[in-house]
Amino acid sequence: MATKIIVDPITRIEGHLRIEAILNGNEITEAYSSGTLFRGIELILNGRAPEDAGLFAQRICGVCTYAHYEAATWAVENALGIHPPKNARIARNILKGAQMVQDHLVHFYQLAGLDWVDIVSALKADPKKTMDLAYAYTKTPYNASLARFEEVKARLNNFVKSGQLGPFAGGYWGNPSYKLPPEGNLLIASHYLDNLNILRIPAQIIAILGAKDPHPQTCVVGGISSIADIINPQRMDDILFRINKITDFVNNAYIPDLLTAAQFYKEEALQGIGGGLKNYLAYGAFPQTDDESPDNYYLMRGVILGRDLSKVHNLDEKKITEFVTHSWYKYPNEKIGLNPSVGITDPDYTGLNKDGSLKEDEKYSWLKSPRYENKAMEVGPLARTLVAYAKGNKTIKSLVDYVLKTAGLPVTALFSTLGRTAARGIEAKYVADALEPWTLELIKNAAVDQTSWTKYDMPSKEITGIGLDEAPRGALGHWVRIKNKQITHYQIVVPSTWNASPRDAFNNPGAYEASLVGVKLANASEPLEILRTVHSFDPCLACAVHIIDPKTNEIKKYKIC
Amino acid sequence: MGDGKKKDAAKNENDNPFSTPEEDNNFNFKWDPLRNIADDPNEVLKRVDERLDGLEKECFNNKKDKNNNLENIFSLHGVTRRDFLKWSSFLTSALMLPYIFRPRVARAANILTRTPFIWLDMADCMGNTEAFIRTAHPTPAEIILNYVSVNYMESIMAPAGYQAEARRIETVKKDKGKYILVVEGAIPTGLNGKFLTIGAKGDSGLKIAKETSKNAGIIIAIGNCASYGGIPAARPNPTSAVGLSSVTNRQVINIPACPANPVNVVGTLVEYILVGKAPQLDSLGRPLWAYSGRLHDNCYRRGHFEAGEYVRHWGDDGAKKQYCLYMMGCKGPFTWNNCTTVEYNQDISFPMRAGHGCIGCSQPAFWDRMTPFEKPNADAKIILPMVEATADEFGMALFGAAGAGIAAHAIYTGVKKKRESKKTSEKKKSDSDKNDDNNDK
Repeated sequence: MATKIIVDPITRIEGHLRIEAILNGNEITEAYSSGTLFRGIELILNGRAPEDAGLFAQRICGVCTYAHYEAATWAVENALGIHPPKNARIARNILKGAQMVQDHLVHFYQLAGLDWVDIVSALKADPKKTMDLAYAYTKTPYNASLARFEEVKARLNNFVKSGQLGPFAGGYWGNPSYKLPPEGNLLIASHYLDNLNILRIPAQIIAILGAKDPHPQTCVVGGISSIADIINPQRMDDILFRINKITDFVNNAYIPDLLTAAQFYKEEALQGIGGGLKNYLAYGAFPQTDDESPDNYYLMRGVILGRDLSKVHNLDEKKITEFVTHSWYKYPNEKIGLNPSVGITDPDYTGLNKDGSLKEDEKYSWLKSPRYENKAMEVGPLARTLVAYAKGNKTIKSLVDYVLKTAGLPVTALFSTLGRTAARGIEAKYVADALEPWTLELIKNAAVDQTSWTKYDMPSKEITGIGLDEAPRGALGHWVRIKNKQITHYQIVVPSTWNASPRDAFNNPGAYEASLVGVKLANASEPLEILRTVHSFDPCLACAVHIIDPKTNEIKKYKIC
Repeated sequence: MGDGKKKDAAKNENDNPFSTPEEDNNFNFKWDPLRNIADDPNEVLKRVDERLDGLEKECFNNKKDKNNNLENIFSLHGVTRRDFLKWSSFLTSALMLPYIFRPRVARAANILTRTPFIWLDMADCMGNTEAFIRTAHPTPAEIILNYVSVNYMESIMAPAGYQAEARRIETVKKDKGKYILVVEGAIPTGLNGKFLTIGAKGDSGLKIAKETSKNAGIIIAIGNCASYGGIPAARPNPTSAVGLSSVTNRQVINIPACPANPVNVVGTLVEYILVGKAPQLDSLGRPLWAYSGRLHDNCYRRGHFEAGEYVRHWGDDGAKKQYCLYMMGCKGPFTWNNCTTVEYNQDISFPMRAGHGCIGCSQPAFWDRMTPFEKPNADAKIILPMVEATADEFGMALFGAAGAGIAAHAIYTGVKKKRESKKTSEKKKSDSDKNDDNNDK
């Protein structure tokens, strides 16, 4: 018999998300993803100064705050036809690299960690055996000693005994879907605690170059404002010192923990659980040359269709369209998708069923459905890693092959919840490893060239620009139109709109929806497996807000049906 | 307090962070009448101690439980007893309380961890949460708020869906009048609140905010969105978003900024535990102890302002020398907060230090009134704690007879420099011209 379960709120994510799943027995046959918040930041951007676009747009999301700042700035720079000077380009790469590594670390331990790690089971662990596990995949495990594991165990014990579990309270502890042995749980729980101290370090790097994190203030149109810090050896040394700490943690905690988890959750990956869509899209990021050519991006650009890793298609942004067939918006013709550069948004809230569930056959989400060539795409670390792997990026290839070989998995195992989680770890290492060379390059360059800003004139005629960037959780695009030195049209397609999108005109499900099909629940009242798969996308729903009415600029009154 | 006394106090405190040093019995301090508890310092201390005793009895099972509570929590996160002592001293002074309150602040922090706590996410970007869990160092402040007393906080709690909601509903019912409510994000009121729905029944954020506010012991709006509507409420306010104080008739303490500084939140909570009510607020609902200073007055670049030395475009010579950012649109003169003294990300930086002007994120409607952010806007209608005036009018009032208004000051300096440069031979160009040259290279 089919039953329906509703998980709302999905916690440990950014923003407001609901998942509804139809269960047949204990297996999900269909799933629906709904963004439940609408703010309308695109509309708010209308009529503003183009220079302020980044500062507004970054408030879309407090998690990928810098990615939005940069994408908006790129869009305006693209419209003006300018590029930032070398110092600014590198400094921006460092800012975004730090953000990406931090985001991946927080995701693995704080946000998604509790889906894989049973904290209560860690109390049964033998610290000695935990030591063996800690050394299984690295010769120099992070903060691993018998004393440390005993200490962590004792403290967790105290914590649980005091009855004050705080955020751990009410978790799904003991659910049979937790596969790690107590020692594995203790090891990762111990790094979970270590990471609470580590995760502020990349944020400090962002603060050195960008004033504060979240919501830095430095990425001005044409360059960067923190030149005084760039030419200050002490500040740059502060960055280098912190980068070392980050790479140490990534190499000696994150990657080994990932391999540990892979060892025990291998079966899931082999079955391809949570694989979902077969198409992957990456805009790429981190320009390596001063002309900012996408061909030389550190994270590569490309499109993979039908899981065919033998061919990477070139990205054509004109093929990106958004549908609203199942979204709370109206189009004149909802059979056709619209490119963001001409996107229209006309909110049309049709409400929920009387029992509070989604009207799945009608409109059911505040997110639009972006599609590429009318196909649903997955974006994010897995998409980026697959594109780089298929394009033959040597570093990525060797990292992926190492992880797969160590875990004893074939390449196809990447198309799964575990594969997505692993790709994020691989990418964290790939980006963390680049931070030091970038910083050294910046120091070297700033010694001879202190330019940090490109002069420009804002014309009165109409200009348009696109900023295609990568946020930690996937491809991020900003489309801007400027006239009379004011923004007249602004459209944002964020990663979570791609991944969390509802069905489109052809009834193709979005990435979350597709990935949940076939997921089995060990206990239907505990949505642990749903969380695990949805979390593996690193949802970020505040980003996924949508509205613009370029012509009238008016706000309409809506009635709930 | 003399050095000797400090030493003794420290020695005493090493044994127990909550114990009151002996010399405290002979205290002598001037009570800040703003707090409005009682005029007599003896009376104040007595009341505070009585309140703390009562709360401790309620929150802890026994003495051992009381004494070990924080240590258990902190050691899990690698915070030592000494860190905690330092932090409680820091917070005492940040709260502008006499030093005699230090152990009491520590006791209040201890109680705070056992006080039920609900954190609601409304129309937000989670930036304030991030400022706590991700970027702020795990000082006792963040730990107390995020890892201990949280009954409902979507961003970090393990359960989801029904289990998560159940915890919120249970807390509202069981701990009526006791729980602390922190709200992040604006409240959309358009569409009958349905621009945001939470929970399996699809309740609106508006409804949940109202219901949860009704029974709360104390209500804090964290960040500019929850305080004044923030960016969702910026023109044209598509979702009719408002700050929390507009949807509840309870008193709301506003901790604006984007994101808000965790110190200001915890300080306010500690004061609530100490005296049982909100700290003294300014006319915009902000605690005076944190928001009574104007950024411009405490900015390390202020000297350059006085000297008429400005950054005139990004990356010029002035930018490298960290000159005043007023000409680049800095809103420090119209913004009240403690960023310049407390700073962000463990004293690493704040906007002016990174060469970008303040955008005025602690002030209501700054998205409309302070924009464009990167240009000085002298005729902007800026809302100040006491008056509403244009920036220029305010500048006049601010500097009064001592100097002209800020804009006038800036223009004057600019003119003066040009005159000087004209006077000298043509070879010598003015600073700003030189900068242009540098940039063209």
